[in-house]
Amino acid sequence: MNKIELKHLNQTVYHNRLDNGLNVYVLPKNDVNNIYATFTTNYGSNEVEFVPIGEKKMIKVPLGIAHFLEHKMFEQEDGVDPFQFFGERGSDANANTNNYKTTYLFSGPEFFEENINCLLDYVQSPYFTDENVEKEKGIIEQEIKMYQDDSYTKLYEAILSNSLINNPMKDPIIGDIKNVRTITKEDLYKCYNTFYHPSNMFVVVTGNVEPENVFKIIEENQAKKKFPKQNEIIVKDFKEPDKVKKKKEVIKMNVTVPKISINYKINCDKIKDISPRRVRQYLSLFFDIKFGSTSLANEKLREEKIITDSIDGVVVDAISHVIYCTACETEKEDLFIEAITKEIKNKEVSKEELERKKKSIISSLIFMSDNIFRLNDKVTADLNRYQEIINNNYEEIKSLNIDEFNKVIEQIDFSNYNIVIVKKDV
Amino acid sequence: MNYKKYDMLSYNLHCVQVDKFRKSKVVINFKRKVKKEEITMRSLLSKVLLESSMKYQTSRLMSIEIENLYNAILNSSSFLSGNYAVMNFECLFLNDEWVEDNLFNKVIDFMLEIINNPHVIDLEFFEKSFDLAKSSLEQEIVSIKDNSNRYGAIRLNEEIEPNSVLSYNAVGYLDDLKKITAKSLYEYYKTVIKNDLVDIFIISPKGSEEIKDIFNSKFKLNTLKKKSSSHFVTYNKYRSRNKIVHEKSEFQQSKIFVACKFDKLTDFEIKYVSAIYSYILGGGPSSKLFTVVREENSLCYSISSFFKLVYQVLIISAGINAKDFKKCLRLIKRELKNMEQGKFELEKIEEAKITYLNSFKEIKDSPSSILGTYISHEYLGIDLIEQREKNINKVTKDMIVEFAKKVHVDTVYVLEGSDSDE
Repeated sequence: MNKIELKHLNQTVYHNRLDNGLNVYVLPKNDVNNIYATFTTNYGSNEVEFVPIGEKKMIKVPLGIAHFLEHKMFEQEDGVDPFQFFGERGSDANANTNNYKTTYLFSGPEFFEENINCLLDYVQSPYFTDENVEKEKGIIEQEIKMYQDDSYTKLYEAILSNSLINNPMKDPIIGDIKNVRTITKEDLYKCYNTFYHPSNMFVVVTGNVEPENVFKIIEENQAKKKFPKQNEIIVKDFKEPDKVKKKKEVIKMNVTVPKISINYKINCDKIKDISPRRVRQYLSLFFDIKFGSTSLANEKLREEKIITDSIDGVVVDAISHVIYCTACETEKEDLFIEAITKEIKNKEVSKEELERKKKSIISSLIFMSDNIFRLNDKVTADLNRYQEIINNNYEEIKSLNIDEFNKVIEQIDFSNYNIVIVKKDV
Repeated sequence: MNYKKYDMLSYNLHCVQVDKFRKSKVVINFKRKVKKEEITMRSLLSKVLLESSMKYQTSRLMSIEIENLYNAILNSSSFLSGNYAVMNFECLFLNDEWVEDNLFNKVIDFMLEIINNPHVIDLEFFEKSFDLAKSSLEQEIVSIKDNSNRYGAIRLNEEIEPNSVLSYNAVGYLDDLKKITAKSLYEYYKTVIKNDLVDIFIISPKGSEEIKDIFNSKFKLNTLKKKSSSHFVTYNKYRSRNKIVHEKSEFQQSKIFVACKFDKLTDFEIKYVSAIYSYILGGGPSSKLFTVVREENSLCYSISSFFKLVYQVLIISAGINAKDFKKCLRLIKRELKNMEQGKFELEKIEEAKITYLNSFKEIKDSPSSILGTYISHEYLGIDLIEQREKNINKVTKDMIVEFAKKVHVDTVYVLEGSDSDE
């Protein structure tokens, strides 16, 4: 067992790696009642082209299959519904899929041993039949329609599909109805057998637990199971160009006020002498200072009645690139575009603004450390993205400085951007 | 955890002392009996006061100060709680030991600045701030139609009991908004400060006496406190023949909303039996509605039931294909009948109780949730956690069946999506 101290936050993560390759992390927080456990595979909607385990040729699976697979995990051969199991113990259960990972989870203050065993067992017992696959298609079709009725989802999907060319993030996580209808049980087993090996997964438990006890329970559970030897997983690589795919798209949708987003695609790997992660931190600060609620640009746009509410800033991490979105609701799209594209050329910010923003980030870090769900999310995101837990966030934030900031921003090319608009009349 | 309530004459101060969290929360509520013609005014006022104050004269300066307070999370809202309209200001912020010594005092000063020192010139709200807030509220009102869940819920309420408090939309009305001026809003603000019932709720590691002294010196209201009456709404009878309303929309997915009214409920049924009933019927993935409508019939992605305590209305909602409306409604009614006939296992009751008992434990993990229990206790007479833990265990199958017999489908509202043309 080894320890990773989250510096300045008075918290420690305990880690153990099992013989089958499964990594287990425990962050005890004994001043709470609740326990939150997640079981994650490093497999999300991005992995659509890969070499299935035991085969040699690369295949392409239907879009949305990772999410479909997540749904099907809750169907068990013995007919015992995991939701039922957790519900009987007063615990909440759920799962989610994003571009990079799929996570199965439960939370509840009691029955931890039974719950964690159930979580491991049902995720490690796939049961796909032609019949249960067909049945799920109707449910997911309703889910797709639900999202298609949300203008923000439409906006976000268009941002990705217009910004990215080869990166699989350009396609919706949930897929589309046409692709979902083609999914077969054979497809599901191929994905499951390739990506759901313990060596490609990890467990994170936060809350009112003792690490030793958690490790013991999980080890005993895994020792009863046999797993095949797992070779390296081969996923199709892609090279993403710096330029955007499409400069502008207008989507027709029945919204009362048009929504617009201007999206800057930036290659963070190109900045000399500074790690991509730190570059991202400075870029987030830059966009917040330039367009956030404390910015002069935001104030001017509101005073001139170009926008009503403040600009929304969203950051999309697309691995090799980051997309910074500046979005709002407005009838005056051209004026908004003009204001943003003009302001971004002014790269100057004050030291005072930077120092004040650092306070905000530190505050978010401390807020996070008081919540077992957000702590679990942080550990899970770090492991999935960086294959390690970042334990010095506080010091990193403190060390951000105006000289380094200027050095980074000077080198950033803001010329690769696109515009997406969602409105009633095109 | 220690709780103390102080009668400060013109307002009540509720102090909850807890050491274990890294953050504190302050909630300042203004409430009065709801009148439809005042709803929009209150909604707008809650926005205008956060736009600017005499000390922080633009929204940008307000935002800068919030960042200086280590990004305190500050919100205001105006909502309806049965017979009462509540305007609320709340702030979640880090404790002093995590940042600097007197952040607590600075946050209180900031909140009181917003409430007591509005940006007013010549007896009217500062025009720019007023216009910005008014535009924002207008946008919010017109945008309700863009969200099928929100729109459908509001329309359902309008159809269940037209012209009653249930039918009121807390966000406000465009026609009323157009008539409000910076001057008339300031006049209304003065009546709020003078006449509304005020409660301040605080959860923090600070002792209650210390907090009381802080407010004694900083917060002076020139008003006499009156007694609050019940928030709970009672109805005329339910409709013997269901009212069914179809409305076409441009959404892809159709939505069904079913509203059920009740024969007279006891206090225990409202506070305890309803929770167990609603859990079994439609409280999550192991519920009867989820199992039957989604899992067995694949008619929806989500379906749930929710008991609106203060209005004593049960709402069931789901996203479906329009062609499945009749089948879905039939299945829902069948499950309601099954509940009446006691066709559910004792294990389900135990499961519901365990879930509720666990949720009480989870409440104790969050300062916002803990504070919420005291607000519900003060306004709705909801028991505090220790009492709830005892009483939830007293709910029996007979009580649930008795409750189920009092449930009557009253109104069905269907928001038809474009799939209705398929």
